[in-house]
Amino acid sequence: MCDHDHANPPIRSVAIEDGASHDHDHLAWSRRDFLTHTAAAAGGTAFLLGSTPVYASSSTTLLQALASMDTDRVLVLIQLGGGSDGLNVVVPVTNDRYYQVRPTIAIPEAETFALSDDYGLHGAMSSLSPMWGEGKLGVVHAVGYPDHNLSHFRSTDIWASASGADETINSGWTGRYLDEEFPNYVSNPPEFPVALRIGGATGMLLRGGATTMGMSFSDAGQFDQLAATGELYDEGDVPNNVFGEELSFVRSVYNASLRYVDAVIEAADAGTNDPNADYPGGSLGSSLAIVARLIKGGLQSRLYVVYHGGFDTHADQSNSQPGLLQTLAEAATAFQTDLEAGGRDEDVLSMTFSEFGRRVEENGSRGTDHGTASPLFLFGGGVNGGLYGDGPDLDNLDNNGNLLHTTDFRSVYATVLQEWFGLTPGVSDNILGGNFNPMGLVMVSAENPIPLIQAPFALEPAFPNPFAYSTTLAFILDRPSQVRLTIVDVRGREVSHLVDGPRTTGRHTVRFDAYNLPSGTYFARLETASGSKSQPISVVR
Amino acid sequence: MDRRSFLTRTSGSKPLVAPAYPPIKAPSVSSGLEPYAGPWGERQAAHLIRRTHFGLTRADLISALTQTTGQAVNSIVDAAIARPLPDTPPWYNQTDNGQNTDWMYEWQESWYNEMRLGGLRERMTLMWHDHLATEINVYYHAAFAYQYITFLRQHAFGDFRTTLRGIGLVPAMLIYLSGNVNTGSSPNENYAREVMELFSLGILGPDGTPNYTQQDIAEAARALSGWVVNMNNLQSEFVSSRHDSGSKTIFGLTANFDYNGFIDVLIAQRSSQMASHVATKLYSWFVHPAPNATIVAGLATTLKNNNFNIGTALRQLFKSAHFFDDAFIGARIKSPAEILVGFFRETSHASTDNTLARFREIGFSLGQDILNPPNVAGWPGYSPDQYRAWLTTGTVPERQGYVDAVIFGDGAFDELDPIPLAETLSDPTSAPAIVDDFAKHFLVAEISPEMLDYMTGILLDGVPVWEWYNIYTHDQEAARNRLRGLLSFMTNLPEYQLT
Repeated sequence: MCDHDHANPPIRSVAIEDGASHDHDHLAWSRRDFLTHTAAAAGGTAFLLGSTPVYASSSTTLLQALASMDTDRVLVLIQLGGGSDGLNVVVPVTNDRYYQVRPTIAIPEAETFALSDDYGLHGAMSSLSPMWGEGKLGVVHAVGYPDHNLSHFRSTDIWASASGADETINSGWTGRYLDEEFPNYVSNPPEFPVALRIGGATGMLLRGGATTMGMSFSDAGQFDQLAATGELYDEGDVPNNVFGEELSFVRSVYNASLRYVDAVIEAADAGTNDPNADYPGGSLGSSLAIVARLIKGGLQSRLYVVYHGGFDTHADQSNSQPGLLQTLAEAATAFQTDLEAGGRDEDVLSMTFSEFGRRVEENGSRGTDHGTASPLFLFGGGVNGGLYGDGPDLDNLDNNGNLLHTTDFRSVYATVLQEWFGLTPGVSDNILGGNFNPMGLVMVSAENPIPLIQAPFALEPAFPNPFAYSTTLAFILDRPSQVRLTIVDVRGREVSHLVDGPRTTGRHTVRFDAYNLPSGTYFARLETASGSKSQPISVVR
Repeated sequence: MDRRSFLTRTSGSKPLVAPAYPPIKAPSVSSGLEPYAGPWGERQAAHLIRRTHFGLTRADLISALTQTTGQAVNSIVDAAIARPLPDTPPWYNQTDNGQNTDWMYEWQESWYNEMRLGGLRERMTLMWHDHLATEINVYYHAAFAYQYITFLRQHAFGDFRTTLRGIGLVPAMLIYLSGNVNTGSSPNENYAREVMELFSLGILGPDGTPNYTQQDIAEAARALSGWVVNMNNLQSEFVSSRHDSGSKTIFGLTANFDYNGFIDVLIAQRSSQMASHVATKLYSWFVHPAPNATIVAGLATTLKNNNFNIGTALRQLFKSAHFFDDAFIGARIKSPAEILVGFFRETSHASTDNTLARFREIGFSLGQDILNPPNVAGWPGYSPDQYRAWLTTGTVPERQGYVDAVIFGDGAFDELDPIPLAETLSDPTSAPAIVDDFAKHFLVAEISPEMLDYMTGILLDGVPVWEWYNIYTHDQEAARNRLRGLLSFMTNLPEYQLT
């Protein structure tokens, strides 16, 4: 029984529908299966490295296609943990009410530098002024969402998942973007982590349909350990007994199973930090220095997430906030300097976010309680610098005395997805669960086309092939086109047509079910405005 | 079926990764079979439960801690012996094989449920399945699988000699090791070899001398000839015309041996070797894969002096200072069944038909398709020389993926509600208490204060520690999400793979 099952092609999906037929189970879940099948197909082998069994797979055509499609564009997310008090960051210097309700903690206009007639940036962030002057820093006023949640946890989840206040989504918006970009991740994993996270706890950002596209480091020190020793878990630091021997073995397998270790170490070795990039001490500076080093070292990751905590300024805010902001500004400036020195600043968009802003009125401890909307920063060579959105209205607050947002955070995300990564509005809406308009914050000129659309026209070999009942066909369009995708038999007779209509630029996948066809050789035939392609497929039962 | 031809075969369609680690030697641990007299705390009680069940539950732990070590062991063994058999499936005597595949799957899936509920009885049943192995892919009959597993359950703690006498005539075994085609005119040595080499004696005795010769195997095969499976009533039966009734010489004794005669002479002539072989299995299954010669010898003596009663030997082993030696706590890699069933028990998750079906699929994928070991020697991951085979760079992310799928919900798994877990295991209003108590519950290793602090940070996500109380009391959905994140981090640590 199972022998005939095992001969079937694996299903290339992590999820399995309940009640799937027995022909399909056993095979639905296994990534190890995928790896070994891939390895076999690509001539890779299972081998042993030291005492650790390792599976290796070499390049497949899909990986080559992905590599050729690769955009150089990178998104760096800087999470400001704790809820950043935006009113003291982008200070409404001409607003009397601001100074009335914050008698001890308001920032005097003289301690800001001007972003506009009415707004000044906290003086602790003055190191950002060159970037502002060069038009590489965008500031978006009062970003939030309707019915703002004041829980650190819940609101962080909302920001990470791009859900509404009244819904719970368990994947990150960036994770869903990566799913979109790497649909065949599970069957054909890229050789680099598509996302890399250093510090913080918002694992949700990376969570999508395929959860393991990324690599996470608890902090910069853990990364340094990997870069220095090639291992993440210390195989030597174990008790000197039977338990210690086993723990050491398990750690060695864990280290080896971090499939991206090679790519990351290679990039870490190839990249260096520019001596003029003056990163501040502490975890944010270290983390951004690592990110710059990896980007300059050629790591192809699309998304980096770093963390800067401590913004939960309930008491004596004036003691802690300036230092936090100074570190943020200096780290961002150093990062930008570093990337400019390496010629990569136009490929990198950095964005801050925090789960919420803080109460308009200061509290009795010279601090601020949990609030709602807060400004966020976007910076990089591709940013159209300036102030975006409407400033918050301090005279029109919600029932808790908090700001009403003027820009929905999902519009900022739509800006990133559409303007920065070049997704169509439809795909962007799909990721964000609604229609949110981009803000024109990213410079996208004709001379600077989105690299994503540079994909070559191609019909990829069917996967799996041969197959018993179903396979997946993928094609890549180099421009929007009418598409016909048909299956023909060896005598050229059309036995099935799968696509007949317009399709957008980019990669498309189509599942082909051959339940009604007898065993034999057929051809998938693709006709588009860019030409025709065909690939042989074999039904074997 | 010849085991030799299986050795190149692989489990499912996956290549077998050859072990390159050096052959292990028994760890030098001086504690012996004398009753354990050390501290009896959570660490020891949890060890007893983890090793005798599929994963730890809080209720079992509390129960064990209210007893002495000896009482706790007796309770576990008594409960396992007294446990009623699961409900008989409606197809148990169906000769019509039309829905055979469905029934076989159903039987595999229901076993996972029984592992969750059945404690030591099911660990022993799995041990005997690994030891007296058959593959359902070969005999391919749900009713035979039912008979086979039921036989193992019924004999799990009894006289091993009775088990040995019975197993060869269980239809699944009779078909699997070719007993049903072993005839006087055409002898088949398959069962004769494996019953000695794997099931009862091993190739070499404790003193290093061979336990049998090829001549013994050939003669034993003749004695065993004549049994077939009647497909009309699904029972084994003896057909005298297929039996070789001539005289045979086995272990130097000559007589007209038949099936029972062979078992008799095996027991009579090789009881020391048999006791040692079975004691080795018990030791490597419950203590450490590399058998300790002194302990094995002691257990073998117990078996010989107590009518080969397995329950008696287990009680002695579980109560011993050796079993509770601190060096062994956490020194085993979890098998796939322990990962699958264990996480459900640890989180008090109830299984559904869908989750059981996923267990079967994931178990297969992780290298343990229950009812279908890779060959008659059982799973490499249970063998003393390849016991690390469970864990590879392929299975590690898959094990993590399974646990994450249960935590966050995916396909068959509804997302886990960690609030009741926090309430059961800990003071749910205190973040550090949750981290401490979760770590003790889920991780067998002692976790450093730095790592505990780090995990508390994960739970808190940057807010001061006192904020957790508010979160827990006012925003349980946020608390749930953070607890899931903590649980995911904890179960993704290497330490979680050990038991």
